[in-house]
Amino acid sequence: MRSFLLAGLPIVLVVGFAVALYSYTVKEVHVIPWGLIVVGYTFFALVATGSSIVNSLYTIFHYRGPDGVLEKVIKYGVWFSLASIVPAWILILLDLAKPLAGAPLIIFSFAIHSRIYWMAVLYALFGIFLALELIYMIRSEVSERLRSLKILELTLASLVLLVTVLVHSNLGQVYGTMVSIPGWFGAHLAPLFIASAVLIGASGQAIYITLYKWRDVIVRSAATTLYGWIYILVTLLYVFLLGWVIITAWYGPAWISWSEIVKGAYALEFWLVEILLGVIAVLVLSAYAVTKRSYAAMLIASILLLIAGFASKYSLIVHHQLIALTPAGTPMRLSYTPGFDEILMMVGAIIAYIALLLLGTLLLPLEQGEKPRRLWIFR
Amino acid sequence: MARLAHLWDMSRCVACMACVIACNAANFPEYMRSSNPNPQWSWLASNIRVWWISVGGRPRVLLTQCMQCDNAPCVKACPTKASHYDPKTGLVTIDYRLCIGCKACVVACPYGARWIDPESHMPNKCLGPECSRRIENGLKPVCVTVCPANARDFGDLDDPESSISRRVRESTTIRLREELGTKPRNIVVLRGG
Repeated sequence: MRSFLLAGLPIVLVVGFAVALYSYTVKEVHVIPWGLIVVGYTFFALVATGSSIVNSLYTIFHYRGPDGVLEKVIKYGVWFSLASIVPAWILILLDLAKPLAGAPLIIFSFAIHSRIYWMAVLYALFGIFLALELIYMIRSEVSERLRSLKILELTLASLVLLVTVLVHSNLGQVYGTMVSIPGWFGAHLAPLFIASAVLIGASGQAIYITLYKWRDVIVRSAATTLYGWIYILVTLLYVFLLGWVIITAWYGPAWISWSEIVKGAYALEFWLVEILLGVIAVLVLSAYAVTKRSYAAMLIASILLLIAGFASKYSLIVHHQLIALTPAGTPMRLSYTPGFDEILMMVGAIIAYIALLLLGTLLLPLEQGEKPRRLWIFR
Repeated sequence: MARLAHLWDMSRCVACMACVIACNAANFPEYMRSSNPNPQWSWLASNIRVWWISVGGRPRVLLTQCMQCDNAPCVKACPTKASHYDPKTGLVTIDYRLCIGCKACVVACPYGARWIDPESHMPNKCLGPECSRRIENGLKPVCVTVCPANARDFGDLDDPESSISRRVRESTTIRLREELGTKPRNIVVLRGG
């Protein structure tokens, strides 16, 4: 099975990239500049960075989790974060008119007034620090000298956490600093994005780790408690922040689009998907999961969080652009449906992502205490 | 440096769209035969955008283009400094060698003054390539030249003798969405002098 997967997954990876690249060649212009591709990019960026924050519980705060579960799965968690940033990069680069020149032109422009400039710089640092952290973890299994360098371990982990917090709060403020879209406003988008990232990242990580280690009952049970508690605490924080965003919007021009989300054209989606499934059902299922140690409840909560997380980002990015103001300050409504080119690009990025994630899981020595045997870091 | 700006007199404008067509023909002739040259606006390949708005229940037409903001959100949002103030003219300009087509400027503009080229996927805005050449040669943009109602002007706001400064002095004018702090230079005349 392993050799079959090792032979097949590179092909699937190439197919995923090919589909994404093909979609770039048939790319169309849509009524809103930032559509499904930017939603997908934001979603995967939050998966990667949110998962990284969960990892920091162990790497920085040395919290081992119930039954020491984090110690057992930490390398899987770091690899999940690193692999999850790849589809975000694929999507955002292919959304550019010049994907190859994009990153160097941004980084060497030193346009420090631009939030997107900082996204590129912080993403590069995020990828570099996360890769270094993973290499350190793998190499320290065979190098006594590396293992004793606790200061290096802590420095790498601290840099990852610092860049992680900066990258997704900055991502929130890419939207928060745009005066053109009334619904995107205020400094509160930064903490809202951090809370949302932790929920999305933790749920993605929970699904990946527990399904891969399906037979390990101890990991499954401990992960149920760990992720269940994360869902309860961070969902409450998320609702608290979201509530204040909506209340603050009510007093200002942002209400023009937030009102459509809360009680207008998009209300059903908001209350059904984001609140009923993404908050209430998640809280009930997570409470059940931690009290009864129900893995199934935690797994369903994780899936719901991913769905609601995607829906909330779609709503935040797309719906607010659809209800804007004309230059005269009067409301303007637009209509947008994701195009075939956008859906194809998403599909390509997701195929490449799943193949990459599984390939790395098979090739890298991610088990606790597992030593690399080939090419310095591979199992 | 001159503070160049456009003026549009809505009390004189007869909404004949000659300016829109002229912009299209002069700056984007390659799109004259295209069936869908500007999908984002569902409109012509023109840097002048037409808004049908309701004022007191009555329909009004509003023609806008790049406002040449002194505090331009597009310049701040641009991650490569492709959107910048031209050092010679002070106008907000795109350096297409640096532009990567991220569309941040298109999202950032509160006036919806930028549109994505369906072929190159790069942003377009006023002034277009032909009008930029005209300005360099001391001429006015094509939209000003072709207007049959003399509803448009372009010139230096810092020169008290310029026709645009004179019209501003003699008219009731506004600048659009000033509350955003963008400091738009372009002027809308509500009532001519």
